[in-house]
Amino acid sequence: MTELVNIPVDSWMLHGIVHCPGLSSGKRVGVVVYHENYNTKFGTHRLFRVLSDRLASAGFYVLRYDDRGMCDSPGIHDLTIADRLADARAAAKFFREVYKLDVVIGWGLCLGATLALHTSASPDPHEQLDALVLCSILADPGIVSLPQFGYERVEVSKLAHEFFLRGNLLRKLLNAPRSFKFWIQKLEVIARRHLQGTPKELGRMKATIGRVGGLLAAYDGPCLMIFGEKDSYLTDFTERVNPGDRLKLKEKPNPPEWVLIEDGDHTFSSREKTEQLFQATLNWLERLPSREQSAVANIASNFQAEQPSAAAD
Amino acid sequence: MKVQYFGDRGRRLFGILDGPSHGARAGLVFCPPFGEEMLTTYARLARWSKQLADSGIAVLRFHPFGTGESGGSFADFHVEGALQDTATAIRYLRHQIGAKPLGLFGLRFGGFLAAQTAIRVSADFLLLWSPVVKLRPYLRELLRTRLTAEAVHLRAAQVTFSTQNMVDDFEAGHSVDILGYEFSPALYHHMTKEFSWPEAPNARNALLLHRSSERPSVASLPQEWTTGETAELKVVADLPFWENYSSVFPQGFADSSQSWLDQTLTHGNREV
Repeated sequence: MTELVNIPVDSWMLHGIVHCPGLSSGKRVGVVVYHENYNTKFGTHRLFRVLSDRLASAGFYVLRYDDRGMCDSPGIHDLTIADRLADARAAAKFFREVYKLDVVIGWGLCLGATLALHTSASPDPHEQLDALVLCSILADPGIVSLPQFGYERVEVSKLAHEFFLRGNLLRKLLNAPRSFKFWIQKLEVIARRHLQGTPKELGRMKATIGRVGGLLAAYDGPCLMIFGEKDSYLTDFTERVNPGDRLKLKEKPNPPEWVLIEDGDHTFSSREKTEQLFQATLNWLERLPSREQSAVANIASNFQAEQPSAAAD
Repeated sequence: MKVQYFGDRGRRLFGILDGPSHGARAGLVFCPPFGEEMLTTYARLARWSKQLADSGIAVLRFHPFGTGESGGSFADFHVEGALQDTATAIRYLRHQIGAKPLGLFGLRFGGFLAAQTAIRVSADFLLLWSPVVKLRPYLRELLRTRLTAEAVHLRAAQVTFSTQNMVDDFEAGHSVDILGYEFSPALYHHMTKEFSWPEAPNARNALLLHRSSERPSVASLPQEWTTGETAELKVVADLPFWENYSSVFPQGFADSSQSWLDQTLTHGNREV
């Protein structure tokens, strides 16, 4: 069963959908699903919608929402990263208070995972999240782009490598007229970037993404990190954000658990990978340690009993 | 703005009504594009819908059964079902706006839906952005996206199947997974064998906007669309915004459409 809700934040109203569980449970556990950039709440290949249905059938309350002035939320707004963070906190607080939840878990994909992590660090206890599931987290500020400002991501080093080091340079020069349009487009982007400078919003977004490593290091709650094996964000994280466990995540008393989905991409875009993602989420919720355990374990085991044929790997 | 479910109990549809339900000068049903294009364009079409609402047009954005927030799974989605859902959406909006002019808008696959629905349900005007005119090659394109994705993520040598394998699966009555979407044999059948572009606009006024690179596709339209009195074809300089997730607004499409709607609805040059 779903309920349509309106979430107040600042002078805006966010449109949300709450999936209510079919099973009754002693404690009320909710999951806020944070979607990625410039997207809506049902997600790529309907990922968030299906995930929410599955979680609800397992006994969880689930909230998905659209940001202020975007998609199905009223009004028109040029969204900033600060708005997103405020919306994420407001959604968590609304969910906990209105649905009288004992535990609220954040589940995010890409930038959504970044938002969930930031929300968990809110000074307001009502906004905080009790546990996190971070999928394909956007943690490297070096890869942030803002296409709405014409700030396409073009890496000069990669372009130079492409042009000078790959293939036959002489042939490329001979074929240059044919690929003229492509190179002109890239040069235009680079020129525009240098002439206009970095948009302020991009700087703010990079700063927000740049704090992910520190927040992860400081976060002491239960956390599951999921990556697709073929996702470039995985190497961004392991080689640039946390090379050699620079953040000392493994040394934490409550280190994040990892699930690597074999051959999975950034958005787990096949039914098989999606199923593995769901199973990884549910399996972890079943084993969720510390104070959340009693609330979640019963629910998750109900789910496992309901889904005997679902294969994790 | 009103967000709600509507339609039959066994076929619950999700819809967003932007704009005045009373006092609207016209109504417009938005037919969404297909699959990932529905997602990549969602925020931008929602923005345009809200802008249209500010200009006095009541817009109903809806999700066909099996997509978005509507009921069903994607395996339930097929062309015939989407056409029925569009007709349901028209009836819902007609109930909201009364006797005011009512039109259909569609982008890409949504353009096909809009044009097809106009055969079945009376529409005063049609507004189409880069519509998919032929479903069979469009389906082929979609099948190829899976091959491309596999080739990118795996080594090309490990991609051991082809579009023909997927077609064989469909023909054998199996569904096929295209980047997380379960395409049913019924969808395949509808896209390759059952439905084709209508011979005439079936509306009193129609505007078809397209990009210059789509000229070959537009040239294949039936004569009534290209030389008839009711349809107008116009080239727009915008990028194919449905191909990416950026929030760059399709201003050319929106401006051309807005002025055409104003002319059609207000000045009476094309009396509806």
